[in-house]
Amino acid sequence: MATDTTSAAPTGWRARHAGTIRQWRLYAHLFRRSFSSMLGLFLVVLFLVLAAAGPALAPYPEDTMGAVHLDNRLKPPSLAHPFGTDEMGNDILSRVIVGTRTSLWIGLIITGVAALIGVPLGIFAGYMGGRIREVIMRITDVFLSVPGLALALAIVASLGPGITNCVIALSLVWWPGYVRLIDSKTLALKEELYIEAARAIGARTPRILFHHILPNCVSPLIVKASMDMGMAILSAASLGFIGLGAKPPSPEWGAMISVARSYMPDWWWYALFPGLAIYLTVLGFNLFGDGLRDILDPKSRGR
Amino acid sequence: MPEALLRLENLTKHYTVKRGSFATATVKAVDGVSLHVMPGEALGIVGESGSGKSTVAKVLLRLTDPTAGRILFDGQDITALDGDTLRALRRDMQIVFQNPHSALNGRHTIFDAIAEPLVVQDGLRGQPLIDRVSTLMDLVSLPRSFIYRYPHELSGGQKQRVCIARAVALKPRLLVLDEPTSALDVSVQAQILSFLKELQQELKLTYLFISHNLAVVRYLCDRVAVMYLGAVLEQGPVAAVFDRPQHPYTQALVAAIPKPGVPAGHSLLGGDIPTASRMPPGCRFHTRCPEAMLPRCATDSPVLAPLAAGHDCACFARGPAA
Amino acid sequence: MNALLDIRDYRLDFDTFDGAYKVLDGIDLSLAEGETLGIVGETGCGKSVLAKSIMGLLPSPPARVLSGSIMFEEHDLLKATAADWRAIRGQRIAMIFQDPMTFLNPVLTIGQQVCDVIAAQQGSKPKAARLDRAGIRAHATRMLELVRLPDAAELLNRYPHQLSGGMRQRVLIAMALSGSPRLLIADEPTTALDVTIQAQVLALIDDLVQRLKLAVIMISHDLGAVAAVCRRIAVMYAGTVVEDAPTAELLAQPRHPYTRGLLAALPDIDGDQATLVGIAGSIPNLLTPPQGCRFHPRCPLADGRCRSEKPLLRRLSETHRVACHHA
Repeated sequence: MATDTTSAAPTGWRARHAGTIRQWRLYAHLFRRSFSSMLGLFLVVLFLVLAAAGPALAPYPEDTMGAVHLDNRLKPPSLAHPFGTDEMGNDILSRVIVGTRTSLWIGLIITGVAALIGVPLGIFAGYMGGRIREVIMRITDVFLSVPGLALALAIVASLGPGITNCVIALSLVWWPGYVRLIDSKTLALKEELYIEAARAIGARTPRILFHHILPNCVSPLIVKASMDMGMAILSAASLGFIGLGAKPPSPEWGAMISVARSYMPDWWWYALFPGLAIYLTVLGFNLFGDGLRDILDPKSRGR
Repeated sequence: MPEALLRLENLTKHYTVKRGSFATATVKAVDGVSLHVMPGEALGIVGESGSGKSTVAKVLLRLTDPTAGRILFDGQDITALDGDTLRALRRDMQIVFQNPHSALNGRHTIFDAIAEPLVVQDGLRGQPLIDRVSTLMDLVSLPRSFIYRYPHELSGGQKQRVCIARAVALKPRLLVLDEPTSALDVSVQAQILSFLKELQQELKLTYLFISHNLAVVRYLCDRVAVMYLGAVLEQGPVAAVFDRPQHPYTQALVAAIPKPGVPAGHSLLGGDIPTASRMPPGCRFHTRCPEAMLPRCATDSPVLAPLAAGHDCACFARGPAA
Repeated sequence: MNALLDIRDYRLDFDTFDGAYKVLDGIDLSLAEGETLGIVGETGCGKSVLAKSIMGLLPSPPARVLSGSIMFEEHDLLKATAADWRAIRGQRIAMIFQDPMTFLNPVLTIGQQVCDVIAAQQGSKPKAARLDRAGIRAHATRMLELVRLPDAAELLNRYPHQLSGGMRQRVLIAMALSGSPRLLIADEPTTALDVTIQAQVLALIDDLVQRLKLAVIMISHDLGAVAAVCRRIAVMYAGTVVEDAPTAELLAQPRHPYTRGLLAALPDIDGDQATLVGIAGSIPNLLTPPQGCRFHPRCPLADGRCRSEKPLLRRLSETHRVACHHA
């Protein structure tokens, strides 16, 4: 550690990043020790693989485009159709797999847009303080005081149903959480001595915000975003379920359950498997986020 | 007489704090401080917690705005500078903070930390920046192999050297050192102090050295100002102030330093330091003063008056004012 | 005279992701009834770990005892059970810490907290000797008077934030002494305090030692503060005791190069010093401590023997021990 005798600057990527590499190895070590974190990681990776390779993995790709096989209607799970078939005779497994991609991009866009709106507002509010913060935080409070899903419902109702409008609506109601998170983190970071040190050398506000404060917000941001992925997918599925999101026959999990509802309980597999997909995805992202929080932000553990 | 590099005239900083839901109280953190630092000199400011010594540093560096008074740097009034003129001034006055562990951003490498002033002020980049950072690391005796390490991989003394390198990167004229060694071990403190002494000669720096440790101030500084509850009670050359302290408070401070061979509790100062929001009337020290009080101690506030050449004391019982 | 506390060949590792940190490496120290011992050393020398070992406060893992014993009043503390500890902590051995505020609960009054400590001690006493509520409160008042706090009875109703740092440290000392322990461990008791307040607290500890015939282990990085209270000083470096001698002798004739280095590094308030000599280098990484003498990489006297052979703590006289091949 302090026993270096060499005085040459290290060359080569490995030597330059020795500290970072050690840090990542420690993260990996801590993450591996927890069963629930690893389960979360497995579910998230499975989800991402299915989303990436979706149509290639689906046994009956044409079934996801709205094909009709009336001779095959509502068959229970079998070797040919492990998840059974729906009222159009389409393979449910194929539709669940292809639905993964829809869910992924719904989740990514909602959390992405929310973070894109919320993070700058939060940093700005926290660092500037005073009246600017008051204004930003009160607007945030207004959004937070209306139940998110109800607000999204209202927005979709005015834009008209459809998956794009559903994503827009959810993005617009999702950001206040990020403002709150980043605002409180910034308020704490602002008091750090190194921020004062940066001011003392004459650094401008944008540099302090993006060079000093933002990188230190990344850990809680990653944790929140990974947990929100699951929640955003669930919310989009909810809108699909009440008929305001994706429209059948597009293979979206919420929409599938919405149709399957009228076939319960005799044709149970129709609702069970899309539901299980939603359940495992949300569970996976939550466990994964919890695991990330434990290693990135150990102080908040056990709250 | 040459011009002082830094002159504080009646510098005052008051904070308003909330007391409960409605009441507010005024904290007189700095209450009319006048000081000067000559070029090439090292001025020490000593005092206990709540004396306002660190607030003086923050105000004179314009990290926070004074309530009243003037700050003159090299003859120029900098009290009201802002924006780019203030940013340009930062080049000439730099600070090293008490705690090197929190003064460095944990997500930045040593290179990032030392390079920041050069990037911010000079827009340096690429190879010239790397060369300049390497030179600075040599100056503060940090092995070049540390350049891409993170602060948590360094010891306290090494981190403080990084902070010093950062502070002198722009070749400032005034360096404010706010308790730079109080978070360090004694053997490391000795390294840093003797290094700071050499550095002062080498770079012709002017120091404003803030500390609660009298012995450290004695070692590094030429003159010293003793602060108590926001005001300077005594100032003068270190040898005069520490060998023949005049103000009862300075006398108590010097006596309170635990010394081997002297039993604990030798010459005690009773009571606690009042808080700056409940300032006693009259002389701010009279509630703890071990000496027989004059009637005016409880009503009037004494001002600094010269006792000898360059040695001032604010006490009714001392000097010509007595 | 029997030793009150006798630590023999105590070795302790800390297991971490990076490997085992060899935190304490064969500590030998003993303390007689009523004796005052200062333990001085810099960051990472293991002085606080040693104190926590004596109080049984080290969580295991990561701590792992490799060898040795800590005998207190003829019992090995390393073998003490949870029930044993309840009878020892507070009533046989008590501890005070650096930052008094973190050990006081801000939402409870001083009285509630002092009385809680006293009430907790009643469980291990015989029925007849137990105090009732009024008795506990009276005892609490007596303890606050013992540490020279003015208006003790009134103070019991105040909250910690209404007290100054010096007063809080006095309250903690009162709590520590409420079970009449035989040994008080003070871990940097004055580091967080201002010099004038530090002088008051040091004087108080000194006074209590005399009046109560208390044995004290005072841990500090400040040689001056320790010397003001303790008759004997042990200097620690990187998990070993390098020198152990009566205070006056240690300050006048330090025999270990590290002790000499520490003394030379202290700036002096009296007289002008032209130079201040630090100790070159920095403390070793205890994951891979230096072979032989742990101080050799920074030692001006180091030779081949120092690099290969660990010097044992040997007696120079009845009271002066040093761990150096060259002393």
